[in-house]
Amino acid sequence: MESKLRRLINLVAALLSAERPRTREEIREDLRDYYASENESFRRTFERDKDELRAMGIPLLVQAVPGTDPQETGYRIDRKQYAGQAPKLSSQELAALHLANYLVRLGDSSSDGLFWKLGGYPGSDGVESVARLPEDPALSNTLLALADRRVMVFNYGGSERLVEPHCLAFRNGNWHLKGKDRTRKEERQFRVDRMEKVACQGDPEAFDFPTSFSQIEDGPAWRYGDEDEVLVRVAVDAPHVPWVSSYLGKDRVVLTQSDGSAVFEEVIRNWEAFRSFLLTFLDGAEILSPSSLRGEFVDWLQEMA
Amino acid sequence: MKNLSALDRLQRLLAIIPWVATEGGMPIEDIVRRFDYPRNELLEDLWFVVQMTGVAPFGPGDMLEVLIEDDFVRIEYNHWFTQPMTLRSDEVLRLVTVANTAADFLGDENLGALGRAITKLTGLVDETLRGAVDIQLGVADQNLLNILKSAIGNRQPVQIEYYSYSRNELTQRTVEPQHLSADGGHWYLLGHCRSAQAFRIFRLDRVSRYDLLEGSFQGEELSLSRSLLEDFLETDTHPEVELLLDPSARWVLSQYPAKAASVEGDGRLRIRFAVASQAWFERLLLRLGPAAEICDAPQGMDVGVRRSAALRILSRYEEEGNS
Repeated sequence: MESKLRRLINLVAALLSAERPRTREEIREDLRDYYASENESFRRTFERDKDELRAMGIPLLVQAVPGTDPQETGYRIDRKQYAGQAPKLSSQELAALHLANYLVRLGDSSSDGLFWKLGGYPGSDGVESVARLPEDPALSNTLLALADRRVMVFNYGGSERLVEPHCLAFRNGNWHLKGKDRTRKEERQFRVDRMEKVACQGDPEAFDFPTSFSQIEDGPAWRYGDEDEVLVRVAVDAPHVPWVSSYLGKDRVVLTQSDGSAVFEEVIRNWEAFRSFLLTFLDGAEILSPSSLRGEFVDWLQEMA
Repeated sequence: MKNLSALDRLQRLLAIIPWVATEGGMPIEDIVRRFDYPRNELLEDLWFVVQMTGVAPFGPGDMLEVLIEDDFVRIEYNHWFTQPMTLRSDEVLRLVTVANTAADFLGDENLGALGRAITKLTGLVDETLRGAVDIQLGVADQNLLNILKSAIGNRQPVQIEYYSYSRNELTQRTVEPQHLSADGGHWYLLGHCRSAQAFRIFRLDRVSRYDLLEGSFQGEELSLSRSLLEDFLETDTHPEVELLLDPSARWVLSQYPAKAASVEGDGRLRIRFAVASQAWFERLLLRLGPAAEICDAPQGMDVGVRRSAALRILSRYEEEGNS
């Protein structure tokens, strides 16, 4: 392990200090103590090293070497890109940030790598997290695409999408992405955990954010179906009222009775999703109107009775 | 002690070298602690890796020099690793998002060091991106959250009226609150329930009334090493059922935690669940309707459960229907 570490750190030093791109042969010569002299073995090790450095986020460039004929390609690390932005944080600020990172855990993967760049962490042991947000495999690429304004390509619902990401929100336990679907030429919303084979495509700064875009739609599924709108009135027993009121919004409760029960109204566009929601209450709720949906609900239950 | 891979060590060394060099040296214990680097491995790497790092032709001044005296480390002739690696834009966005979410939870207008760190980090984020990532940890009455935070801090008991989803009934509890946690879009309170004489977890959107009680509690404090919900939603002791579902009911997989699932030759889904309570099972069966067939269930969890639950709801429509 030590020899690999020595080889990699010396490779980084060589490429960072290079005034012009270094050819593979020059690199092999400079680091002859670390690379094999046999061609195939050198090639394999060097390719793997490049991949690993890039995976760490090191900006390894491949460029034409000036003054070579025939033209040769070489490698170097762009010093400006390598050491660009890093805020100067005091120990207290760094500790507070680290504490925040423990309070709100984004995924199970550690963000320690970020903290090494900021100067390690001066200790916030023993902190219990308050929230854990799922880090779907697609989330890292989504954050990268959003931060760099890069076009994303992914499979969704069986078809490939090209999307300009505009905003990302965590609602009701899921990540949602909103962006311009280039194929459909309109703004669309996607559940991040349902995005497959997510990758960034093309260069950064590939598009401008819209000056205004609609908010993430985070309401219940029955509000976004394709069916005709229907206004439903439902009576719920007292134990369920606080939850209904906080989940649907206080404005949906149109009548509160002296026994604590209440009537709420919802405009629905997806009956199946709404029926499923109603069954949460078992016999603690009742559809008051319209009679057509009341009848459908009764029919559904009678099939099982 | 954790075992660090070569890449783990490289990542740390690329941060440690510029930091130690810029500060003019650092006590070795500070490096161990700040970079979570086991002392022996660190010493080995300083002597046999950092000390051996340089650029061709590797003459005097081309190599890093490590000096360790009285457990104080200095690194000299550092011409290449003068700054740590940059934070990528998505890393900055991630940190700002997490820090802002934590600040919202802490809810203090005067956040001190965290507020200053957020200001510095936000300065690195493209202006058009600010607010592009928005996190709502869970749905809960803000006043209830504030009261519970204060009760936890002051070790003060609370009285709550709580709807038990699994038993489908309203209950009165006196709770010694210990910890708040957001998970899956919901806020939870973990505390010692005096009524049950045991630790319990409560979903905050099911709390209908709440009051802070006088006095303070001394009870045992929970030490949490794993996710709260992992501990408390342990399902190994629950009875299990096996269902066969039509392909149209595949949505169940994304909404209910299955213990096992497989696809049959005819496209139907065979799925196994731990049943937390009868009410939970009734809801599941009624939602699935004719798309579900019960294959294997312990006594009392058979098709009769679905029938009696359906009849119970229907009776309400017969007796009270007033549309």
